[in-house]
Amino acid sequence: MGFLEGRYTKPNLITVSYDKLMNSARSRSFWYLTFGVACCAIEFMAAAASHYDFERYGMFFRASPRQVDMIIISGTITRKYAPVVKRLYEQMAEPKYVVAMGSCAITGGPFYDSYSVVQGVDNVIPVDVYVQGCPPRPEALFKGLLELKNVVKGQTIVVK
Amino acid sequence: MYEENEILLDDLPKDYMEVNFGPHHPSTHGVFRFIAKIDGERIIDIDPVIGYLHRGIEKIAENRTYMQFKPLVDRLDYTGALNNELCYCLAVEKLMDIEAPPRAQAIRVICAELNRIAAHLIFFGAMGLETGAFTPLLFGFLDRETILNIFEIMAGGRLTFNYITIGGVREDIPPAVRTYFDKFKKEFPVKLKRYEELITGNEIFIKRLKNVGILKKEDLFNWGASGPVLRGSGVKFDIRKVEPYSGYEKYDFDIPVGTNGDVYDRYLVRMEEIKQSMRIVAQALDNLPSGDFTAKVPRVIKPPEGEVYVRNEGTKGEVGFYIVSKGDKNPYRLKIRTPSFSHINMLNFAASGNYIADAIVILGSFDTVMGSCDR
Amino acid sequence: MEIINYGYKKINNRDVIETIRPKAEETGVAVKFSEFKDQLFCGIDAADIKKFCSLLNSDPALSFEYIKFLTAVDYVEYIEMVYCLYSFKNNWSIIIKAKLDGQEPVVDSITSIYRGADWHEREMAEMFGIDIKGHPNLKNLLLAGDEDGFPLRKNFEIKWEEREYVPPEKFE
Repeated sequence: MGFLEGRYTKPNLITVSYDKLMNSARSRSFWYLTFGVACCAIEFMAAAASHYDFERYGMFFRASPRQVDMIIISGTITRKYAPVVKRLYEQMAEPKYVVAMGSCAITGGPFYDSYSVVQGVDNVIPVDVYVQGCPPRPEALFKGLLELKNVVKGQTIVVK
Repeated sequence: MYEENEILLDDLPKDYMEVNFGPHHPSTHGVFRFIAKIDGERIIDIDPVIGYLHRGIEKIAENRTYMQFKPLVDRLDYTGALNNELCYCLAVEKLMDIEAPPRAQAIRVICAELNRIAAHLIFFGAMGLETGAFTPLLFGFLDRETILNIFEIMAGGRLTFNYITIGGVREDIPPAVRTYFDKFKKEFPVKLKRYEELITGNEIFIKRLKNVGILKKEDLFNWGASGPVLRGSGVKFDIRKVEPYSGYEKYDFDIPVGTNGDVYDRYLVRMEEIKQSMRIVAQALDNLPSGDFTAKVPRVIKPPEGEVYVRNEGTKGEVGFYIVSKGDKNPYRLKIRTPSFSHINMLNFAASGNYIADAIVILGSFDTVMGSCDR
Repeated sequence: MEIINYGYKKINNRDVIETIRPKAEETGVAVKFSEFKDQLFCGIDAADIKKFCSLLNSDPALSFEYIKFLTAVDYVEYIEMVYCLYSFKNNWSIIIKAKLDGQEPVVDSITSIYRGADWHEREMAEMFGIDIKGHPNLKNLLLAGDEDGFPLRKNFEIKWEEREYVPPEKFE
């Protein structure tokens, strides 16, 4: 609701109940982008398939960046591909979240000294949750996504 | 009436429309971009653009020792990682004149064939996605979990392993592998028969895939194709039979061949290869020899001077390593020959003149992986 | 289509050398053979590459119709091009090497004989700086385009250190 944002500078009854309602609805339905870059994408698809299942948490895939609110970067980002990732991130609508999966997306991974690899995707877009592993198991990815729920529950409309 | 301002339709300037299928698209083939010139619904020309996953692995190899470079080889063709490791270890062993003992050779064959089944199940899922069906993707990933359980007991990982080493394998296999594989062998052929009834005999599938993308043998030789793409066009050639490595001459298996050269034949060749791989693993587990699981290897690996090229049959085609060594701890030059690079090279020749939907299906039948194409 | 069966044949390098040597002398190409651990290497001049490859491709007794790969190695005084060809009919494989100048390497393209050599030559041209004459489309294939130097040469060094990356303001 537009007329409540930016109005209050101290928490009170209206902001607390509005926060509780909106955060609990947002954290139970993330829609993510079908975005697979490299080896971690196979583990990500295996986690979204039927043995370990994403849809019981309310997460569903969409193909267009305008219709999603979460993007999972799974794989090495090179200098030729980084402008594309930035353009995809700018096309998403607020509020949006980013999960960096695998050690190549955190700091460049085993290809640290190569001439064409960007050392970590947080040189390009801001990241909320880091999941480590090479590649991380599906259970580790689930733990990262449940941490993302805590990030969402900590948001508030009070302007500091 | 319209004589002064009359414009004939033949005099108007015309041009073909250029459409960009960008590097991010809803398909499982990875970061691959192509620019197509189309006329209505037919494609005139395709210009593929690659390099969005180029990590510079060949340059990194000059800064690492031979053992330090081995984990990076897994990440080339990440759906069938153990075949790449096997090829690299065979190349270094040929330079140093080491031979792996018989028990290690049998374990390597078991790893490579199980990985072939897992990679072909991903192909089965992706093929359904190209034609618009979502169920084969979930079926493929579900059956793959049983094989990944076996890999976890044996090699310690699900997708990238670092298990096959220079001189043999890293650890011995536990006896639980035998029980798990027997259970898999009893249950999986029943499921495979159900998938064949659902998808292979389906009218819609047959109409989409038959007589699409026919390739002849002389053209394939000229472009450098290999693997199931070559076998779908009537060439009965398999590196495991022509230049056997790691003890393949002891096992009894057939090679499936197609006669038409279209997309349907390449799909059937891969489905039949799954059954032949299960036969090989059953024979290897029955006659597992006893003994050491690794040979005596010096502590610091310094091969003598020379060059060598070794190839082997990967899951998608012919994988090869060309190593030049000058007697140091690091290789002087390492060149990796991958099948996906040659197959995407062929895309303009194979898909021009078809409809857009058929071109997507032809690209799916080549079964390319971008980590292997860009290195 | 009919099915052709290629089975197991033992590797015999003597036959290959005896078959190629008289034909190469007829067309005027100087060839030097050498063997190393069951593999056959042969060295020729850089100017004779196109003649030799078309001889190997079109002769029905030799029939080297398949190109496996094409690469280059940088020894500092000279750059060496390596071509690997294979014959399905006889199960023969051969590795051809040619030496080029170290500072300004120039070679002819064999795209008119083997169409699959197209992308391999493009990759060698951008990684080593080799000038390939007669190639239809010589653009960047794998690199991003803003490195200073040629990455696979020996005077281009990479180190294990932290680098800055600033994303561009406007996307092209």
